Amino acid sequence: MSEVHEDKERYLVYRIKDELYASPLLDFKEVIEFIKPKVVPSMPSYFSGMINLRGLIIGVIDLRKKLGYHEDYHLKPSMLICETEVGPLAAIIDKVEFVIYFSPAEIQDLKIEGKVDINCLKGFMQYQDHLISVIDIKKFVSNIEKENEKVDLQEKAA
Amino acid sequence: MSEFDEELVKSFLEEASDLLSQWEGLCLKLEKEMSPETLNALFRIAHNIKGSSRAVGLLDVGQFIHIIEDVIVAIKDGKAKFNSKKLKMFLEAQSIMIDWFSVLSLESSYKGYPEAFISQYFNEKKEFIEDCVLVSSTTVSQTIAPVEAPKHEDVVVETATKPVEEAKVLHLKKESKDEVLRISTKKIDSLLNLIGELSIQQSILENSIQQKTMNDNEALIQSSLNLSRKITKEIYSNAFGLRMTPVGGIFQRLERAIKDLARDLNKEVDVIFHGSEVEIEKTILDKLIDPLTHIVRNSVDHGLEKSEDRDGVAKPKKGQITISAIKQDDGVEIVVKDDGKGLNQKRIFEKAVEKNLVPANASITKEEIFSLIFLPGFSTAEKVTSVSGRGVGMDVVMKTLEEVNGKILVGSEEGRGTKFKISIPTSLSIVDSLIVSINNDQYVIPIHSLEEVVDVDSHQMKLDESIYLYRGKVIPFLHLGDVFDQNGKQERHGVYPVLVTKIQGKRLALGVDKVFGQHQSVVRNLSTYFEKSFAVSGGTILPSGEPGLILNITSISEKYFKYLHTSKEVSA
Repeated sequence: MSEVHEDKERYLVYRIKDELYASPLLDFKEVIEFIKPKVVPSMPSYFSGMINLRGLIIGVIDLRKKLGYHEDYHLKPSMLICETEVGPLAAIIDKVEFVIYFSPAEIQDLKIEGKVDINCLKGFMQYQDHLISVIDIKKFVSNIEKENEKVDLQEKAA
Repeated sequence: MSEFDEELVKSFLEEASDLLSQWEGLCLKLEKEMSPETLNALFRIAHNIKGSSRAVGLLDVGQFIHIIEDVIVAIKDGKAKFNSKKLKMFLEAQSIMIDWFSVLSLESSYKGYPEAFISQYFNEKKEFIEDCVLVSSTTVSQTIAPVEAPKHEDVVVETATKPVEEAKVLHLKKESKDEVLRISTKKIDSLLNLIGELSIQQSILENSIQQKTMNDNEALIQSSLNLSRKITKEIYSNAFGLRMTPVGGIFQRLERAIKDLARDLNKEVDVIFHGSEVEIEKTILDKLIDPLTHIVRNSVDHGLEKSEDRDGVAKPKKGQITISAIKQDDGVEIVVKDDGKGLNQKRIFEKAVEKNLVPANASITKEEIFSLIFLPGFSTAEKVTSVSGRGVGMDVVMKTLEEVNGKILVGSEEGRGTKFKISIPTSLSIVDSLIVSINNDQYVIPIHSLEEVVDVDSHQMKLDESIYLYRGKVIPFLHLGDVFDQNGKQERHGVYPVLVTKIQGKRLALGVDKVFGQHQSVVRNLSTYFEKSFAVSGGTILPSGEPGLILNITSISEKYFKYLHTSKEVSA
């Protein structure tokens, strides 16, 4: 920390495919190495399953899938742990890039219909020659809809 | 109100809830036998509450209890006679204070409760309070005085019910709040001792590793590791023990419920308790209060005959209800027994037929007939009373018990009495379970939800693998692999294990790929988002260190039968 940034906040910038995303650093509890999740039945496809993090069972959201990317197994992904309203969740991303100081006021509040649900998109930040989407990560990962009951017993029994 | 005052009120309320429970016990003792010692003890409690309530600034409480105290003093001094009316007054005062204090515990500056309600309470008892009071104190007549004006009375009655409801609502809210447990210092001391021992072992380990002469120390390290393991295990069971409370705590409340109702119905009853020292986890015990209260009230209301009727059938005049808690290998059994008229098999069956719960030509055993009373919408009471006989009840009892993995059995002999046997686990934190594999993933299934595990050859399945012949009986079959697999039904060949479950009287066979064996699973709470997966009741860490899901067999089977039910309606 070379200088004191009074009006600035720290953001964690992470990469999924070629895109950069950022969320307030304090929204994350920790960053861990990828642990292969165990499947949980009848959950949406981007809900990869659960992991055992020091005795705590934590659900895993594949942010890559949730954002509409195809999984890329060549990369060694990371997991971001965040405490949300519905409990702790791990989000799979490709790579953690860096932490930057940025003034929230300078985030450009552009609501563009895209991969991120508009309610969870805080805007964009310009940093060097990158354009970074700022995501309300807690809200985004905790929004788990029930998949149209395709794994429902009713069809099975029929 | 300052923070300091609030803190004071809080500690007063904690103390008072203890005192009030003693109060209840003493009243029940007085009912059995009036003795000066018991009365003295009651007086001391009243005096105590009065003193400490005034000390923390709850003057209304002080004034209220002061009047009760005066009545007790009058009885003590022989200026008034002790009778059932006065006993009822003491018991009611206890209920009022419990409600009142539960409101106060949420909002310590709450003022609305006392005036209206209390003046109504005293108004009802005016005649005999005044007798006692005239001789002892003048402040009381002042308290009662304003109510004597008739214009007040309408208001009084109207407002009186509101605080009670409010108190109830607030009470519900309270449940999510942090609870306070009373734990004996002995339990905490032994836990602290163990933790001390563990840290000693840890420093031994650290020390031996630092000295780098590992070879010499190997034996030391090994023994220290062994000890640590043993201590950790003990800490674990001790820590679980912290949540265990003796069942005796709810016995008194049951006795109160029985006695209150018996008094209202003019029945005479003795209550006998066994095994009040048996311990159950607090959360389970709390869940048991409502079902047990319902059962004992049922026994008093429908089971026990009136004293004059009992004479005719050569039974002792007083009815008897026995409640016993018995420690079992896999939990605790609570038995509620009455010597009343017993269940009427014929009437239960007729009622069930009438309500379309069973076909009229069904041939079922005595046991099965009794279990009909647990079906939703069943009630044999010809007259609807305020206590039971509303058709909700026994099914709710069953449901509540299932929530804590409990089971209930009923046995009865006509004319001799009824017996309810409730089995519950002592703890919800550890379940005996079966580890199975389904679609190459391991799952955990609680053993209590299973009746039997059998190996089945695929050709034993009939009708496109949807029916299984189980000891000559046809039961529906479902392979859990199909339930969890998004690709729908698969064909299976060869032998695979089938788990037979019986939930609410209905059997269902569930196929799995492999059974690995038994395991004592420590239940981990899952975050709320897992609720989206209908089949899951909790999580656990498998012996391999991987997370595992505990399957909710009840909800799987409920969902399956619900589907069968709706599809039948569609095709009909």
